[in-house]
Amino acid sequence: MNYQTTERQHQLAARYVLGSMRGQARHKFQRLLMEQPKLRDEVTFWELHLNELAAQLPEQQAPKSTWLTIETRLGWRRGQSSNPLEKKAGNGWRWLTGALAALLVLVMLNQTLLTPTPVPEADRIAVIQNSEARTLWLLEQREQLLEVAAVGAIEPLTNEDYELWMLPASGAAPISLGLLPQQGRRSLNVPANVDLQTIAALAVSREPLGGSPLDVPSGPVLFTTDFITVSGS
Amino acid sequence: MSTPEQLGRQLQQVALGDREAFKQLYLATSDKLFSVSLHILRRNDWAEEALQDAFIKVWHSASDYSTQRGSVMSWLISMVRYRSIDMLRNKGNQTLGSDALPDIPASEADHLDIKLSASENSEQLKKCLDELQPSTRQSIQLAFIYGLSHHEVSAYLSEALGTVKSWIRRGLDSLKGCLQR
Repeated sequence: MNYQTTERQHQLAARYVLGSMRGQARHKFQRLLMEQPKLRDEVTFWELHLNELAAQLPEQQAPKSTWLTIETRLGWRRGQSSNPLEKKAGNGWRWLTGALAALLVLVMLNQTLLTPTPVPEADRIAVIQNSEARTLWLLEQREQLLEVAAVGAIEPLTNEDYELWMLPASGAAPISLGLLPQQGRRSLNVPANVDLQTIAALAVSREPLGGSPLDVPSGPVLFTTDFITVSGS
Repeated sequence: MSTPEQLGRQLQQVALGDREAFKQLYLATSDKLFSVSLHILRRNDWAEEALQDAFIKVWHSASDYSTQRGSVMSWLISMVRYRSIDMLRNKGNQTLGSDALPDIPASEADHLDIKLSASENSEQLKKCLDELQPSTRQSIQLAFIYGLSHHEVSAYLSEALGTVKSWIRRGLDSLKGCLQR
């Protein structure tokens, strides 16, 4: 492809800024930008003008977790890798980032929402994530109470519910812990005869409205996770 | 809302490794930039990821900015837009398929004439966009704001692909001629 003529450069730069240049052509053009100052000037021309369109879009509040994750990815938060590794670490890193961000959110929730009346600290927490390591729900366990917060990226269900299950370590049948909120927070009271200490895992299934008609999950199990102990209790 | 001068000072400090200035820059611009990304990616989690990627790049390349590249906000918008467009291709192909049409609210798509504020560049852009045929203007805005490909604009407007390509190519030529006057 001839990138040299002024006319051609103008068209390519416009397509690049507009976004209609895709794939390999876009990557090749990005390399050329570093080598050809005139091409860079053409791109700057279009950015100067067209970005005014984007600048006028109404603001949309960015999720609170975004900044925490940026700090974590830059290695500014304890226990995380520093920059040179962050782009190479892959899914394991993403899981850690999600879990750490979730922990930080839980700390904030504890400090803000839960402080007016003294409450026991969470015994354990659990983070439910999707296959892309995006956090969906945060759970805090205080004795027989589960505080659940929906934190985003949850695929909305209109005629169905998400149901939380505990899988006993004994291998016995799953026990329903209640329906998960698709937005906001919800407290789930766990019956006194259910011992959360003997849990092997937590699972989330998709169920008809109101939950599974059976004693066990009737729909597909979508996510599983485990509790993490966060206090000395 | 920070002034362009404040953003400029913050970015200078970021280039020197000032983390607090980086946070202030993020707080001042992230809601706008999240919106820019969300319009292209249309998924909160993807837009959040694009915003994270862009700001990490900002931290590492703040010293590359010069006023010749436009305002700080414009530079940041480019960072976020280009990252979003790359993600749109990588992730969109995986989940949507190349023929899937984005879900743009009719109320937005029918009223794409963004209200431009009174800066010099935006006044000029508004005047020049107004000189375009409505279908040409809408095609350019669908591509720029929502990241639609030529195919998607064609399907969205129920016009032949060749027609849409021609509209966009000629529209950009006219726009450049007008903006340089």
